[in-house]
Amino acid sequence: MSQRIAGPGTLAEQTPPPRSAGGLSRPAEVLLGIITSKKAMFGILVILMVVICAVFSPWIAPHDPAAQSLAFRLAPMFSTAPDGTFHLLGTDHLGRDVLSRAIYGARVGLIVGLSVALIATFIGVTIGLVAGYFGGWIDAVLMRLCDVQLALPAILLAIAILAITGVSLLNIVLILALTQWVAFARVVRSATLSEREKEYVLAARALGFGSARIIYRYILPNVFAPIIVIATFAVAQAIIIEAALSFLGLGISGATPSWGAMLADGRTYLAIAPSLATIPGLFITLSVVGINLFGDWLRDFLDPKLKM
Amino acid sequence: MGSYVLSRLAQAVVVLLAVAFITFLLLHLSGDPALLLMPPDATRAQVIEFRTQMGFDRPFFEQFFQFLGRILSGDLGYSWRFQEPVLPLVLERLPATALLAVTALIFSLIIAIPVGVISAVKRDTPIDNASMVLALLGQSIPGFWIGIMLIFLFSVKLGWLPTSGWETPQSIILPAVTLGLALVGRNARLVRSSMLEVLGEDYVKAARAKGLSEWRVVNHHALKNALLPVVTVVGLELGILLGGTVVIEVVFAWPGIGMLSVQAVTGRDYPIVQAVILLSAVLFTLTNLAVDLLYTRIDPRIGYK
Repeated sequence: MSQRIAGPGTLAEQTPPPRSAGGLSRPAEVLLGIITSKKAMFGILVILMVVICAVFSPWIAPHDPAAQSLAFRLAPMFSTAPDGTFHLLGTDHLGRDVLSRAIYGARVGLIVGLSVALIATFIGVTIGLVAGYFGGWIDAVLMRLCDVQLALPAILLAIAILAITGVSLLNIVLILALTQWVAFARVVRSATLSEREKEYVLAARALGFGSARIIYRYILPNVFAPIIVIATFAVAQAIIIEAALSFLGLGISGATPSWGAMLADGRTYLAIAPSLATIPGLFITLSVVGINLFGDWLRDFLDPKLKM
Repeated sequence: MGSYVLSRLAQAVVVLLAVAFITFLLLHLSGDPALLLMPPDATRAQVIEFRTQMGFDRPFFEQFFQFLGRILSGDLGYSWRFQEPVLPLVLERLPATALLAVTALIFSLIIAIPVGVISAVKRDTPIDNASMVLALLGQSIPGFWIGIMLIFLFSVKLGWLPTSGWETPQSIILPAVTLGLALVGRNARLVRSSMLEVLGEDYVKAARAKGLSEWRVVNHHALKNALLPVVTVVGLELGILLGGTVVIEVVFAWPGIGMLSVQAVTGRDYPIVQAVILLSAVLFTLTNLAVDLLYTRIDPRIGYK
């Protein structure tokens, strides 16, 4: 990634975006990278599918996810109810359509995943930038904060806080974000430590720019690549933890179905209707695999040195 | 070297103090810790008496130092559901969690080390690509779902293994495999990347130049050094697992501290939850510290950096 040397309105900001050796602009390079990589293509396709399911679920889902039919409970896949309605993935223990619930389930997963990643990015990046830029005792205190967060058992702490404060979408998002920021802080801190010694930062300091301006205008754009990669993995991680919380009975309840809660319900009927536990698990796995594959490709693309 | 050890010890103490503070804060989230710690059917008079008795009517920081004093003397509270002190109750369940964590870790390493080594040696071949995709899958599939699927296959369908509990020695197989599979991916990728780094070192090139067989170069020269960074991560993983097997313990009704704490949350028996969080954090910090200190023995350069 190229370094920005001057501030807004100066020569560096007016120049067009950098071009690769092949003469492509950065967005075109990214697009080409995605198209030529099977990993990235698969990841993007899966992510698109999840987004489409979440946004357009009322139009895509064949049935109302909350509509019960106690006369047609635990129906297997590809079954038709006496009233003529077709259930591609069968019905659950309350006679609700499994496919419709799985499609609607993408909403909770995606909302939680994206919100958690966004908040965790904000907290972690801010802490990482401040720790790396100022160093000294500020760095020591903030890094101990990371150690404290790592030492606390994330899921157990989330369960306890949710049980005490009550389960709501906002509480779940905030609590999960508080368990996910450390990766951002550590990586951004280490990148900032090396950036702050570079000439463009020294030049900005010599020009008398304030610390906040140097950090956010100059250092942040240069440590952005790993942030995007970690944020991608954080979305996947949050989807899994949210599903785990729902599985434990501490997820969002009510009309909105969630994959974790479907899995927990399905477990009871494992012997007679194994698809009830299999299908939501497949939806979670596919989404997380897609996001992780894309994140994996993104890491290799943005910094081939990081390729594991 | 000595100053490094002292500084690591001081850091660990600071972290543990902060963890104790957060654990203490947990009870105050509800606004009234006395209400949280008393049984749901307690009378108003009993709650008031308990509040005074426990000092919850005292200033906040005075309460914290009292709490700190109590935990340092081994008093982690009283479980009203089990009608006994919390610490022995948690310690009684700890061996089950530790056994599960260690077995899962060993299982993951048995698979991850050969997979990581083969991937590194056969870099950028279909074998490497397939292994890394499988590793990514392992990291992506939720453990609790794998657990349910394994129960369905090996317990419900084939009837080979018990579905839950720990009555027979076979009971540990499914939970340990479930927990281990999630770690295989991460560990295999770590071994691969560490191995790739070592394979490019001069001493490995020298070993090859001496005409040693590839097997000998990989096994005797590269692997030993490539596993050094793995020690740190495995230590961290053990620390995390000791407090993080909650969901898997619930899936398999494994009688460890994770299962105990979920039951405690459901039954509003918060002193147990508080104790498990505190104990998990202590175990994680101590394991981390032990690994760091062990690492300075393995690689003395660390202590002088």
